[in-house]
Amino acid sequence: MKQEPSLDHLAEFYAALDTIPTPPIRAKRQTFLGALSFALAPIAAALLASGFILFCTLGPADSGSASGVQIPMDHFAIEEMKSTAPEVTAGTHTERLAPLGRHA
Amino acid sequence: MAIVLHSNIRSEAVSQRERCESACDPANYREFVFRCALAICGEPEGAEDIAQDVLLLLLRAKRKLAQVDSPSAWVRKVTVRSATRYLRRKRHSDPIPEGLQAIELSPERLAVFETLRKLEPEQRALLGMALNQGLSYREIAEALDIPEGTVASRLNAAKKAFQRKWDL
Repeated sequence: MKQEPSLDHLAEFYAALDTIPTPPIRAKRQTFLGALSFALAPIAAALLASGFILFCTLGPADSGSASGVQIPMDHFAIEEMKSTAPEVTAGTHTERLAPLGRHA
Repeated sequence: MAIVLHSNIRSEAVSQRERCESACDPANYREFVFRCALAICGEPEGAEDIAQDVLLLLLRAKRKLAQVDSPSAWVRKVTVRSATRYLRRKRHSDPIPEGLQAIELSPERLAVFETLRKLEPEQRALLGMALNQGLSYREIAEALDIPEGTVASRLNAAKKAFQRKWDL
C-alpha cells in the first residue's frame, strides 16, 4: 500500500528517533521555577517556623474581644445595633457586642 | 527418586522467583520506558523526564508490579499515561528541544515534529505506538484503556489529522 507523503516523513522521523541512544538514569531536569522553589523552600520554612514561634510566644493579635478571638457579625446584627445605637460604626460593633455575648 | 523430584521443584521455584525478580526490577525497564516515551513525545529531554518519573513510580509500586499478570503491559500503560500528561502541559510555542539536534534536524523532520505538536496527546500516543513501536491493536488498546475496536478508528483519525495539519 502506498503511503501518503507526510506519513512517509513521519515514519522516517520515527526511524531517526530510534537512533538516539538510551541515556543513563539521572536526576530529573529542573526548570527555573523548580530550582528557585527548591532554593527558597528552606527560607520559607524558616520564616514559617519563626512566625509560628512568635505567634505562640506573643499570642494572637488583640482583636478587642475578651477572648481574643474576633468573630464576624452577621448583617442583621449590625443593622440591629445601628438602629438602637446610631453612633456605632462598622469598626466598633465587635468591641461593643463581644462583651454582651451576642456574637454567636 | 523423591530427592530428584524435590530438587526439580525447588529449582523450578528458584527460577520462577528469579524471573519474577527480574520482571519486577524497575531498572530493567529503563530502555523500554525511554523508547516508549520517546515514541510518544518525540523529544529526548521529555522522554528522559517521563522515564525518570515512571521509574520512580515503579520503584514505589514494586509490589504492584509483582502482582500484575503482564508487568511490561502495565509499565507501558503507566508510561503512556505519564507521556500524555507531559504532552498536555507542553505548548505549541515552546522552543525546539535541543536533544533533537542528535538526529540531524532536516527541514522535513522539523516539519514532522511541528506537525506532531499540533496533534492531541492521545493521537500522538497512537501514532507513536503503532508506527514507531509496531504494537498490535490489542496492545495499544490495553495501553490506552480503550476497546480494541476503537483503536483502528482513532488511529485512522490520528493519521488523517496528521496529514491535515501537515498540509496547513
